Amino acid sequence: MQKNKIEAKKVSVFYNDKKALNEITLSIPEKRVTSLIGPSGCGKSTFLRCINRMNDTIEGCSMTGRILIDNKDINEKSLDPVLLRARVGMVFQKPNPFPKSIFENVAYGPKIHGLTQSSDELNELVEESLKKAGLFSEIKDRIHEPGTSLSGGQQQRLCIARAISISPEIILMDEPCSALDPIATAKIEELIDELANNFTIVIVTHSMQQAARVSKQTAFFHMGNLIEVGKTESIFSNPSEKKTQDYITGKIG
Amino acid sequence: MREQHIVTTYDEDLDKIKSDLFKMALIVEKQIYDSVNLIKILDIKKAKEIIKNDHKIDKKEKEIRNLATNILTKRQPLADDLRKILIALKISGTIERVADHAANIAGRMSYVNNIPDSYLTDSIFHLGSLVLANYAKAISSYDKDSSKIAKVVPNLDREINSIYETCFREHLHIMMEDRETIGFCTQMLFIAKELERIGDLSKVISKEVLYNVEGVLQ
Repeated sequence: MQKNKIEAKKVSVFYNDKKALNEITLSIPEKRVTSLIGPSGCGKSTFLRCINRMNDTIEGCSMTGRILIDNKDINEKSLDPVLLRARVGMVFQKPNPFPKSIFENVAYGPKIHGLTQSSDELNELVEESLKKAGLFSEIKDRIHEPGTSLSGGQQQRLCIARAISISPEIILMDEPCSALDPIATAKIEELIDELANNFTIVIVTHSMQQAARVSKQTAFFHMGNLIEVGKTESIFSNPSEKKTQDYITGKIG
Repeated sequence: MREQHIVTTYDEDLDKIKSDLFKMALIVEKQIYDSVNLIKILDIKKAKEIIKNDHKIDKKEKEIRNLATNILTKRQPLADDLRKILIALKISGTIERVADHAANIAGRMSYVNNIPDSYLTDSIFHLGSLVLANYAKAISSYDKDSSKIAKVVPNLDREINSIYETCFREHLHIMMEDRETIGFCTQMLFIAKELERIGDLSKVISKEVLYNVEGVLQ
């Protein structure tokens, strides 16, 4: 049976008095891609940010319920959020490389976490991460040029290389292709497919077709509620909930 | 009232593919009706007309295919919308084949010069009437998105198959009793086979309707 990597149990999130998520209970299988879909403001990104405690940094934001990774509560006081984020990487909507060289972008994480012993080892790790992100062959001759000199699609793959360089277990992606052209999008999707062999991936997307292409499981959020979760195939061919059906077919609900 | 899409032209596209397909289905129903009538009243002129009409149906099928391709490209439909397009493609192809069988019947009848005196049965006309009625049910289930009507079609098809078998045996006896009827009866048996095929294809249409309404392939 498929092991669940992440278990959300009755997770509610409040921004001051406003309830943004309402008792979400959702299991996310290990080494699989799970898509979160839903209209803007439905809470999917808020939920994604709960998984690496990014919401901690937002003033007035509070959470109830539990999120377990490998059966351990990530909100336990003893747990250092920095260490959590080393296990749970994140890729954002807009590529956000550091204003440093391509090499430094990828080397930064391993350096601060002390993952390598020598510079040879670090070079190797950077190269390996860039290879895994499908970027190495394109940029191998200009690895010391600024990360910001790359195209949008390449920058996004650089951010993925940066995320995987510290060997996280989970990668969160918040609309990773929304700022990219179709070719760059196709490359990222191909990459997501490959990464799913080693990582648990949770992706927020506004493109139904993208969710249908990349993920095994899809969860539909609406107004802070989890309406339906199931195999991607059945969600897009024959959803059980009317709200899901109306949303994915673009009907007036 | 029916659910509407945010994009109204999407609704118009879906309505158009449905109404075009239903119109095509009605033209084919008339083709079956006319060709079944030829069994009772031999009319060479009518037979030729049926055969000539067939290309119009082929043209309609192409139009529906183009429209479906266009909707798939423009809208990338999902769930029930996607099923509507998928079944329109399958049903239009199926109806085009039904029309071929109707034209084949007309073709067979145009070879018949006269009906032998000793040929007294009207079992194949009866078979034709049942096949026509079942086809009409199948397309009505499509028009109304009715799984209730669609579910009747396979039951009637079983009856059609059993009558087809009876016709076959009956014609063997007629031929054994009067060798003069062999030429005519052979044509009639081919016609019976064409009708039986239309029966099967009506069942295919009803299955597509069920898939559309219930969302699961039977």
